[in-house]
Amino acid sequence: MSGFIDARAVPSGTVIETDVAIVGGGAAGISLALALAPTPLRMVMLESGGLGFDSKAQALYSGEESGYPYLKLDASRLRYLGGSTNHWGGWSRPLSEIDFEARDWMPHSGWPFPRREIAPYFKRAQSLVECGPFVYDHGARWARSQGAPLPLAEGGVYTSWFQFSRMRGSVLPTHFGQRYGDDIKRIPRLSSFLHANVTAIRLAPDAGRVERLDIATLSGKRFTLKPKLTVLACGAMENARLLLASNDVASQGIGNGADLVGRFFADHPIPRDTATLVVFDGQLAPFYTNNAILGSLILRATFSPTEDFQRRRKIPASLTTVENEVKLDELGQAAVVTVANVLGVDATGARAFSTGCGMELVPDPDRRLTLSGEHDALGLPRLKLHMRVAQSNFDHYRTALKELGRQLLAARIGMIRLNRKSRQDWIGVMDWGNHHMGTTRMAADPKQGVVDGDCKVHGIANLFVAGSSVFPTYGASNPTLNLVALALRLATHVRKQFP
Amino acid sequence: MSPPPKLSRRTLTLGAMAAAVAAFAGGLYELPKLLRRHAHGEHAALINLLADPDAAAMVGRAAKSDIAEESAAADLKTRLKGRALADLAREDDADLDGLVEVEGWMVPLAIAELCVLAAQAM
Ligand SMILES: Cc1cc2nc3c(=O)[nH]c(=O)nc-3n(C[C@H](O)[C@H](O)[C@H](O)COP(=O)(O)OP(=O)(O)OC[C@H]3O[C@@H](n4cnc5c(N)ncnc54)[C@H](O)[C@@H]3O)c2cc1C
Repeated sequence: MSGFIDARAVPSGTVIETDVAIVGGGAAGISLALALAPTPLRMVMLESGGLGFDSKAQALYSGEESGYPYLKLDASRLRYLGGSTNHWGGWSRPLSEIDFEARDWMPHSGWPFPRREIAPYFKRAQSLVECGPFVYDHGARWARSQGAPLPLAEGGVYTSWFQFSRMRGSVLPTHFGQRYGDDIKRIPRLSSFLHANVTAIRLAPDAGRVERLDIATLSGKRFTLKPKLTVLACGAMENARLLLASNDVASQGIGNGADLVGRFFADHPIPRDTATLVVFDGQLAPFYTNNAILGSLILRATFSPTEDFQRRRKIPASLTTVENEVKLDELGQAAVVTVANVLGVDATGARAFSTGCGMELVPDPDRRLTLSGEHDALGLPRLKLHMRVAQSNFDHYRTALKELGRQLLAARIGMIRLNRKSRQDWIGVMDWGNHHMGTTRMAADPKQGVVDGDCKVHGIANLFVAGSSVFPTYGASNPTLNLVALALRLATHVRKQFP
Repeated sequence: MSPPPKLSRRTLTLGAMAAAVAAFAGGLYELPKLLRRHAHGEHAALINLLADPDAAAMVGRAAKSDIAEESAAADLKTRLKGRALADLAREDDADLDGLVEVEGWMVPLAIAELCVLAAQAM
């Protein structure tokens, strides 16, 4: 069957059988379906929403938050075909080698495999997110018509590069549902159901296999899917919610024998105005403050700590963006004039810029999603997020900023002011990437992770998870390119399950 | 109280000084000042080599809570030994530990110390 099927038209009590169930039609689910398209597998994709925003479907996402101020759970994601890519920013960058490493100074860090395991999938992922050629840290060469990166002195911070998703012409970024909807419809052995909410994953009595999925629509229809293999691709909050709520056979929830489902929730804090960066000669290439549009390639320069600096200083990853130009106060002017004076540098044309950032949070088991006492319109328990952000995360980021300042001074090209210090300072300028991660973390050892290195739920033969919920350590790169690469890798494992 | 550092015109190596300090684009900073004030006291010679001792004094007032005047004078004396302040700044900015945070501004220690002396002298 092909085309979209409105689940509200499926008679209650219907039982459908298939080889592969993909639960969720966001970036992960769609990428997986496209990757499996050439195989002979029969597939069903179940998407909770329709083709556009619907407030009743969206309300299924609402929940509770406590602890460190964070976003409303229904405001930071979208529940219709394409998922949160319907309002993502398109910032893309592959994770670095160090992001995969277990670091003794970062508890709970490390993936069960090195970066080279997913590296072969970046090329295809890059094309799915429509970021143009895979350039990243060779950006300077591509953007040289717009100027050169700041000639920082040797040290622990370098000019790193992001690329941007771009759908067509000036339409950016790629909204997966809109962009790949027709491709999905054309996959001959795929049935895509819209308005189809999975409300429970039912295990066989021995708790070792998924037997069936319960599906409900907001119009009151209920039916069943019996897949040979299931992939959860509902986003990092909802993946955890479904596993926790499916507790009829495994009382603590599916895959939750080690009490890890929902723990280690993460996002990237993106506080504003973290520092003031002064360039003595006022010369700053435009690709620091704005996206450089070079044909199919959109580039933006940022500052990142090198892997070596991260190891030496025991700090997580971060990126610093250069934002708008700002005026210095009297003390700022005095500092710039005095320092430039002593260094023998002309600061006549100095300009100052506010910086923003994206920070990697250190994994924390108590930053956690649990089920609340409330239920949604379909009877599924709602989520409750307890957010925590240790002050050390901000202190680590300040170390990277200081190093950037040192390199500017040592190169005699500029200096920096660190604008935030106390916890209140940071809270006052806090924003979030909406990059949900970590809640079904990956580890070879079932005591340390919910899924194994193949993204299969430990102890369940035919249940897999796609998306950034499996990221055990997060890096500072935005997740989507990486989770798409991981979904493509997962497709190869899925294929192997059907010899 | 330690004796004042030995100062000479070379100390600051401010050859490029005249050009160095001026107005930010858009007239943010009104320099060179027409009515330039001069430092007095034991560190005056060093401070007066700065194009704008008042600016340094302002930075110095912000740095005072972290750097004591006595230790600033003693440290500069020990380190200068006929060398240029710019050389000290270069030593300082070779390592993160050589920088101090003055109300958020990351400044080489030697410069911050000079600013503290300026705050005292102006
Ligand atoms: C404002 C904003 C800006 C962002 N900017 C960036 C950026 O610049 N760069 C970047 O890399 N990332 C960005 N992201 C994150 C990015 O959107 C996500 O990484 C990406 O969408 C995750 O894809 P996913 O398929 O795992 O999950 P989702 O996109 O959340 O898709 C999950 C899908 O599952 C469906 N679903 C949920 N529950 C059920 C259920 N029970 N049954 C059936 N279907 C269900 C949902 O309707 C949805 O379509 C941003 C996110 C937001 C919100």
